[in-house]
Amino acid sequence: MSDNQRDYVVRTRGVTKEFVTGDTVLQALKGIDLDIYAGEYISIMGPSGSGKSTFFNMVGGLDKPTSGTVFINDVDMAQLDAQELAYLRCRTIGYIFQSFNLLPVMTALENVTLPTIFSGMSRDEGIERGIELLNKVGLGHRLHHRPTELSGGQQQRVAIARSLANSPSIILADEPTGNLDLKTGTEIIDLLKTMNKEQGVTIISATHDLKMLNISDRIVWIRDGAVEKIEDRANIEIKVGEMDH
Amino acid sequence: MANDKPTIQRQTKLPLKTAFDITMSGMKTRFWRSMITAAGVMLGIAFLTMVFINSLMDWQKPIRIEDGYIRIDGQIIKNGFYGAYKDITVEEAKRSGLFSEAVINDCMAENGKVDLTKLYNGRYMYDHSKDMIDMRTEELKGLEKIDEKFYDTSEVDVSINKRTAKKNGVPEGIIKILLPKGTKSFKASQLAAEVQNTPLKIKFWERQRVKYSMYKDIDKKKLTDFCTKNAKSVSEIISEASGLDEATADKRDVKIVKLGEDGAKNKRVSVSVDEKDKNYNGGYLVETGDYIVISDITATYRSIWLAIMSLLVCAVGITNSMLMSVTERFKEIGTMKCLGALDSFIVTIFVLESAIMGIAASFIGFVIGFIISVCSNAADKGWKYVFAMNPVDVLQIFGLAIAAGLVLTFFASIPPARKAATMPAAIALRSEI
Ligand SMILES: Nc1ncnc2c1ncn2[C@@H]1O[C@H](COP(=O)(O)OP(=O)(O)O)[C@@H](O)[C@H]1O
Ligand SMILES: [Mg+2]
Repeated sequence: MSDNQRDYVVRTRGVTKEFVTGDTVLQALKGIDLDIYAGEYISIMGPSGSGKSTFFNMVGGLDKPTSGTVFINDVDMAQLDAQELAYLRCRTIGYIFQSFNLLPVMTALENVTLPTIFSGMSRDEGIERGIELLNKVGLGHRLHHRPTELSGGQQQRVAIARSLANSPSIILADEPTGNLDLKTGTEIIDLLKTMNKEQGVTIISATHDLKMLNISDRIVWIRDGAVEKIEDRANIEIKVGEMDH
Repeated sequence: MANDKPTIQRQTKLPLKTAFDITMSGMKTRFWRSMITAAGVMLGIAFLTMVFINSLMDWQKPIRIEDGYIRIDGQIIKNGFYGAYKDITVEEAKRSGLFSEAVINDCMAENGKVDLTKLYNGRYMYDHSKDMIDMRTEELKGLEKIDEKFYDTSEVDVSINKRTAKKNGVPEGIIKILLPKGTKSFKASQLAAEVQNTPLKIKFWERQRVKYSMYKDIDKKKLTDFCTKNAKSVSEIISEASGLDEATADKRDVKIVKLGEDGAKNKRVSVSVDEKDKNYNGGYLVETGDYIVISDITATYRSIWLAIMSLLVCAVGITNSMLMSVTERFKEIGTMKCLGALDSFIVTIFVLESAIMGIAASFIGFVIGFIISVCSNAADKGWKYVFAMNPVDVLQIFGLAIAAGLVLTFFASIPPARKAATMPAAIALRSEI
């Protein structure tokens, strides 16, 4: 498959981000050009503080770049108003966080159902969808548990189910295994890969977890807010041993 | 999937019901947390309620009217302790052109002024004496027609009831005198005494007519106008009655409550005197043995001031705890935004939460304040003061309490809710609490 035959879901052009605190200006992103294909599992690798989360916020429409453009499905994000951004976040993008970010007052099912409420789905439909997704992530028996009653791995499964609630075309996962032990981390990675394969959803995952390397289609190495190199999976396997972080 | 590029539309607003459901389930889960936030509102409203409910029972010790009648609209009905008109100077009396030297001299009071009340009374007595002479003369004619045997007491002093009296031609006026309310019969000797006394009564009123004859030339209409101009204000009468000085009385909202000997049986015949338009239920009689009670409105004002201050402190407290509850939920707010919540939705759930809390807390606060106020007043002054409260007033205070709590929490919640909603999602998510 050559590049021009494939569709892009995300394209960034010269994205920079500066944080001004007092007199100091911190250049968190220094011009990122990246094309992400539909259905791809892409990992963004880099040490802590390299700008992964910042880049994510730009792609996810959670923050605005200082300069440069982010296109989602060929739409320039800068031109969307607040309501259109909310629509995009609700239906086009699913978010997964390192610290799960489940709403503590809601049960697993209510957490998964919440995005369907925002998308205007009927209550019954939303609940049906929520149960289906929780079954899919292996939590069919924990529907009415609150986050505090679930383990870290289980919470992240709920978060994955929630991110899929409105059948988004992109899932943004920011260090999804960061708070998990080796075994659960692997399970979550496997689950993400399964979703990627089965639903065809594009997964963009920021991580410095080397377990991600095996299952990613491509790996983008970021250092100090700039893309260092982009590698296909074929080339990675040999280089794993050399990785430093 | 690859060719599926949906157009981006604008996120639709959710119905209020959805926000309400989410808010309610959140509050249920965080019940005790919400309760603590609500406690501030509760205390503030309880205090406010206490101040206002207290003011309903805030009467000074009742003052017993010992003698005479006073009439609240400034007219004297019967000679009494409290004059209805101001004393005027001799010059004023002369300048009016209404009164002869003799009249002025007759009404000279100890303080060297002319007692206008006595003067008015004199003119009244001149007319009244003629009426009385006519009436008694008529009665005497009737009495003379009665067969003397009817009231003969030489053998038995018989009891006579109303029917028999009428049948034997006892005049109506005499029956009225002999049968005061509640009595069914009179003795023949009493009737005999009336036959003896009536000519003496006529003589008495004839003497009165001579005594007051110097008043006969006074124009009644002009006199009434003159007196009205010099009438005491209600507060002046009340202040005399209660021994308050006039300046103090004027600042007070004067309420008169008619309490029976045994205290109030919810018999609140209140005459509110509005100093602004002098609009009161004129003509109300305060009779001998009644108690007039004056509410100390300045004390109420003092308490209202206190209540306002405490509400302000309360408002700062509520804003602070609302701000806290927003701050500690930054991450949740950021997450909700990621899931597609609009800013307005986030404002709505926070405002709703505080409004629900405000209503519930004010309700509880009102109940607490009411109970404390009623119990303390009952212990201090007695239950009659509690039952003398007008339910409409209590209801008004209830409405006020709920409204105050609602308005307070509503406005206190807006700034933090807006802050939460307008914060960029990225910042909200970064917070680690
Ligand atoms: N809101 C912000 N204000 C100031 N500095 C920020 C902010 N967000 C991120 N940064 C800085 O930008 C750099 C990149 O951060 P981040 O994207 O979170 O890194 P990563 O996710 O790769 O660990 C860091 O030096 C961080 O301190
Ligand atoms: Mg990060």
